[in-house]
Amino acid sequence: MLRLKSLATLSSFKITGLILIIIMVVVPPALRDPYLLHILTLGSIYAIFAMSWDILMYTNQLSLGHSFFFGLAAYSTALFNSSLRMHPILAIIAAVAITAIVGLGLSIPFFKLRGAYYALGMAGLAKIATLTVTAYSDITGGEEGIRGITPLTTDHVGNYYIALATMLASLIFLYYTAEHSRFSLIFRAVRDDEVAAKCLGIVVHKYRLLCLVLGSAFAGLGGAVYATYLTIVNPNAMAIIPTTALVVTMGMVGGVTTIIGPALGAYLIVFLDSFFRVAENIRLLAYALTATLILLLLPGGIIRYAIKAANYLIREVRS
Amino acid sequence: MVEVPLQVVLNGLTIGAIYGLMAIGLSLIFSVVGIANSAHGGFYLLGAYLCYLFQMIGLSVPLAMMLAIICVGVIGVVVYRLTIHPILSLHANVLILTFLLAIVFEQIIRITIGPDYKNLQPLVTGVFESGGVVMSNQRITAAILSIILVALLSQFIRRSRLGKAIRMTTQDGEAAQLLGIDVTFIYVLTFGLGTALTAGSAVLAAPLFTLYPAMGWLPFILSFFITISGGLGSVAGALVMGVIFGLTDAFVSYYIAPTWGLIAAFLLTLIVLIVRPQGLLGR
Repeated sequence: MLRLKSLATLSSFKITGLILIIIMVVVPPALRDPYLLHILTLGSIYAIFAMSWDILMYTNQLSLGHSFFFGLAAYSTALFNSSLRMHPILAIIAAVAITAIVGLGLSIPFFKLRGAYYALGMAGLAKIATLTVTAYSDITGGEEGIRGITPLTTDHVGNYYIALATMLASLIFLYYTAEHSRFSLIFRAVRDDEVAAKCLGIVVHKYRLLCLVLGSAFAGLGGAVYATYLTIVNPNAMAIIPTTALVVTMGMVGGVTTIIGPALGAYLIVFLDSFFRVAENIRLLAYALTATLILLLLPGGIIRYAIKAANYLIREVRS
Repeated sequence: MVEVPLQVVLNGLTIGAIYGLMAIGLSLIFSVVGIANSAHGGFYLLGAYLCYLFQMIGLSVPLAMMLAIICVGVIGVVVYRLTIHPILSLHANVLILTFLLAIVFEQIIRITIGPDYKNLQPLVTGVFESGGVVMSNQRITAAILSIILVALLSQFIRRSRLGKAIRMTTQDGEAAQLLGIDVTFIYVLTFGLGTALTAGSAVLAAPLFTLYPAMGWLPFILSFFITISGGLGSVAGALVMGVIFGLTDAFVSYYIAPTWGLIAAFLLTLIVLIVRPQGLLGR
């Protein structure tokens, strides 16, 4: 696995990141286009979700049911807010705490499973949860879902900044945990060879658990912000199709185990999805074909090629 | 009432046999080629709709079924060579790629044939009624044909020369290549066979339900669960797990509520997976 740092010299990497952040902070609100702001807000929310999926990949936990955490937090936020009349911020905090605790509890049965079995076990969990949520219609509203969640703000620009700030905070936290903390080398050892890592005295279970709790908590954060932003939750937020499928596509297209890649992938997929809305009839077809092409032609994810391109450009500019 | 449990058992057994056949196409590809084919539901969908198209142009029902199965097998081979084979070693990429292919199939069907519900003519019509048990003949035929197809497949893999080559490739691809087996050919063949079997389950099962562009997703998820919890690569495991799944669904649906049938069945497969992480009949 390539590390970002080895691909880019640190300075050019930081320069590119800073320029991107400044563009994100200044440009979209200045354009005053509510639709663009909506797409970018959704992109930020999905970026949080995609990064939370990616942190699990650091210890070889391919989750095909990650929408379970996203939906769980979205529904918890909705129920705390509408039934218990909690302030949305409190509801978000409570929902994230619940998802993290559920993630912790799930480690007991799920850490027996490896590889495809783990992935499918997670998918089963998401499927059962979706069916249950749909069946308990008197609490969750069934297929209709829950409407009328109190939004944090109704202002487009406000919502955009809330999502962007949450996304950046998650990005910085997860990126430094995964790539620059004392855990990063341990994660790499576990990912490359679990048995060898165990022989070196690494308590593999502990680090898988850390990744699972981080992954579920941040997926919960994404789901909770999603619920307060859209003010509506329905079983689709928890369903494997479309939500897990979406996040896995974002991660794969962006580039797995890079944290930044899946975040970029999220913006790209949300953007592609809305770009093809001009031709509603062929929207999904065009979107699926484009994503297929990206996967076939850039199998490592766009981030690895983007960094190469950025490095090349910076080298050209400097010389 | 003694008849009611009998009816429920028969419902569960028949649908379980069909679930088993649905899962085997996936299981075969999973164990031989080593990839998770998320386009499984897409091939199921293609099988059902191609059969519908052939029936529309006036072909007889058995002929339409055979043609649909062959066509889907050929489409499977072409799709495999063009998209999956070049990135075969990247397992996660294949998983997502095939998933996107399923969306492509669904959208092509939705755009060309339309999003509304369609009905497929069954192979046999009429209803079987005896001793208080009521069941459509198509359901019985589908279950019996499913079991026959599964038996044929396992005999093919166990007895024939080609079957031996497939098993050899499953155990050790490189060693198989050293012995002169064309591994790529085996992969292509298995993928075609797997998709053709999927189409087979589609043309048998689809007349019991209705046709619509998103019809492939539930069979796909069901098949994945049945395959994994039955034990990867185990044909018998898939069939047994399919029947267990069908029975649970039928009993819970009857005694509690239809909405809880699938939930209980999924929960049961999850428990099987956690108690036996290698699958029910896996090694």
